[in-house]
Amino acid sequence: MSLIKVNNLNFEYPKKRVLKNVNFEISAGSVTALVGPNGVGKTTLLRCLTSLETPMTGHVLFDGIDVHDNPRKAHQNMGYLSDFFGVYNSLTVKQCLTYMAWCHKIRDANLANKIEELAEEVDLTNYLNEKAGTLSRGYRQRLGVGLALVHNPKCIFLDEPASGMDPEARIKFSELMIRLRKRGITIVVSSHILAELEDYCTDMLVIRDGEIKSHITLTEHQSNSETELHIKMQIIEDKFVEIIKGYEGVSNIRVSENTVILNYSGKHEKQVKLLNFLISKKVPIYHFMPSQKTLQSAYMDLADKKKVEVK
Amino acid sequence: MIIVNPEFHRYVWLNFSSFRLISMPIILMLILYVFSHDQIDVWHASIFPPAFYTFIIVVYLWGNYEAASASNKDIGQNTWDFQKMSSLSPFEVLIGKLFGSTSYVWYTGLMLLGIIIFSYDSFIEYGKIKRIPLIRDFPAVTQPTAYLLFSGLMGHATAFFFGTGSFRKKKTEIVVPFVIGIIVSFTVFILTTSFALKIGVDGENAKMNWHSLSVHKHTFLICSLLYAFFWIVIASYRNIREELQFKNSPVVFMVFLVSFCIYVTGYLDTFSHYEINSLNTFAPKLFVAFLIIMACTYVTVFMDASNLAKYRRWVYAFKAKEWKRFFESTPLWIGCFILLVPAFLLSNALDFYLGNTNKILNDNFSIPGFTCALILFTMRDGFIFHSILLGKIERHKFFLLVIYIFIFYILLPYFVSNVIKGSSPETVLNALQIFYPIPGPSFFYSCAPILIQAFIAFFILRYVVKSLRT
Repeated sequence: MSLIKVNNLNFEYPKKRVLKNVNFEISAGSVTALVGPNGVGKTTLLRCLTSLETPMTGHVLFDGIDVHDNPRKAHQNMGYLSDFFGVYNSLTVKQCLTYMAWCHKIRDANLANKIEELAEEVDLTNYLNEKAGTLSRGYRQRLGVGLALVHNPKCIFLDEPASGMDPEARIKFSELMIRLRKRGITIVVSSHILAELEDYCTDMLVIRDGEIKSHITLTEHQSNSETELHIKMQIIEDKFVEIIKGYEGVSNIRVSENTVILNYSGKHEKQVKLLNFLISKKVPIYHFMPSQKTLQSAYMDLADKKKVEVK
Repeated sequence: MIIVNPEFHRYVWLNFSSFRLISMPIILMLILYVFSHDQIDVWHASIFPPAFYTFIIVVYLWGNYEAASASNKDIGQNTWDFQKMSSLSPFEVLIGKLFGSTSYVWYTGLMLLGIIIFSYDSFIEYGKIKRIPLIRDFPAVTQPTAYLLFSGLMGHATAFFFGTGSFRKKKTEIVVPFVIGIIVSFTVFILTTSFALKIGVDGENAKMNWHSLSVHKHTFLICSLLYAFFWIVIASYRNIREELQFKNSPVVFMVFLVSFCIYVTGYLDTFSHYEINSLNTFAPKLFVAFLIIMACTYVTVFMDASNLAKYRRWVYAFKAKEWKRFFESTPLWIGCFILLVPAFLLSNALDFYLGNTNKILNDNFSIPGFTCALILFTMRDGFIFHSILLGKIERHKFFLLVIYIFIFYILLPYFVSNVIKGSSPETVLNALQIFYPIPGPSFFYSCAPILIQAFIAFFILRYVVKSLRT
């Protein structure tokens, strides 16, 4: 069931058309990665989805509500964390969360408990009485997510949420996203770094030049008959690559350092045959690994093969 | 209720720590002691000047700074998106920000106001201190304090309104709203106190006519201040509404314009020598209303000319037959123009009906010629403003506008007037009517030259719009 429906969305800055006839749907409970190079309109699209910007034409329906006709009603069920968000540095974490809860008209007697539960959810329990201004980048990000989640929305929109985080903070952030996904919260997250989205995304919207080029569902992509194979060799020579390229069922070969990455249409038995064939041709293989298809491979498939599957 | 307003509460958290609560009264006591201790025998009266000047500094300077920066802080700290995504209504945001940002200022200001009342009261009781003659004639102690309070509020509201402009510009801008707030605070205080002194001299005779109503000047002054305050608050409210993605149609602006015309034209009764409520008093009122709406149309044409996105949204909504969006995106100048048309028609009809019995200026003044010329000048400038601001020229647009105004309103008239120097007054008048909407006896000379200019400007705009499509 679609939670978000975007129809014919166009957005223009005075001298530039940023979004061009954007159409797509996002299912409830999915985690959708909005990916594309810098400056293609990811942030503008997110801001239009959340009614923070008014498009030239088109409609965004969130849970059946036109977000531009009823922004306040739509906001009751959505949270947004911008790429350069700020927090009230002079307030404590608890005050920040309480303030935002009040802003969402949550004033029940259990609010203090709810704030503590939320702090636990975003791993801020030990920092509740700290000033927001003293938090590190990773914890500020968690506070930002907490502020977006305080009213228990159906969907949150995150714009480049992991940028500037150290590896440990990124891992913790991925864990948080997985927990939220399990809670059934729909998440739309924009990024131009695919690796940071791998752990928790179910869908991918590829945006280029203000247009949605593809909407890929990862499970569909993974169930595709092709398997991605990673073959490592002692030495990579052109003749070895040509041998692989000439084998039936092999496509989309990419070479990176000592690894050849390719798509192969055969299942396990055929993969064994391929391996035997390569050994028989004296290809110096020391690593042969079929891997599950990732967002990155889906994105590369799209870039290399122009295999567009627009919903 | 303001106390449960989250935005106000946030400011309470930020501003009212125990330290700040206690420190301010101590600081104030020290200030008053330092500046009044040498006259300790009359201390309760001698603290009036330092209390008064400290109030001015705190409320007019500090308060206006806080009000001007209330919106700017959210833009600068990138916290505004969270508020935009919240369930707060525009009114809650307005009240929370306006009174929250200045809450500590008023905490200080109200203490000072209490001291001012106390010291003023002592002046009345003892009658010895001569250092505060300015307020000696005020009828009651509440009046000057009310004016002080109101001038502060007016300044804060104005500074806050101009501060909300930073939402649209997406960048912080404090200096201009701050300075405007200070100017408003001082202007309101000076006007009210001087007006109140005059009322004090006139006593019970201080009455005036306003649209045939005989009202006491003091009541009228209070009502005028409330009227101005109301519309400043409404203007801020609309800015916040727009930023929270609510739609603002031109209707409220049209209501403001009508109310402003009614307010201003009410003063004409004081100067009119005709019977009140007659057509003869109505005709000049209508003409003044026309001039006010004309000026507003000119200003809004200029304001709207730079908003290409709004025009595009308007055109797209029209093409898609989305009438609600079309109405919401309607430029303000169209709202003004809708009011201008009946004002124009009625002014001319009344002029025709009343004939020679009620000439507004003199016999050489043609209302049809002058009103048509004003509209045509606005059209010409509107077309040119739009051509420059909406066009493809990327840089120095406002410099180009200044050049245009300089050439058409200063350079060319200066050149032509030098060429025809020594000609008959009629020739000079007709020549200058090419460049200015000057009242004159001839409809043809008033309108024909500017009509041609307006046509040329229209074709320039048409060319610019066509180039935008490509």
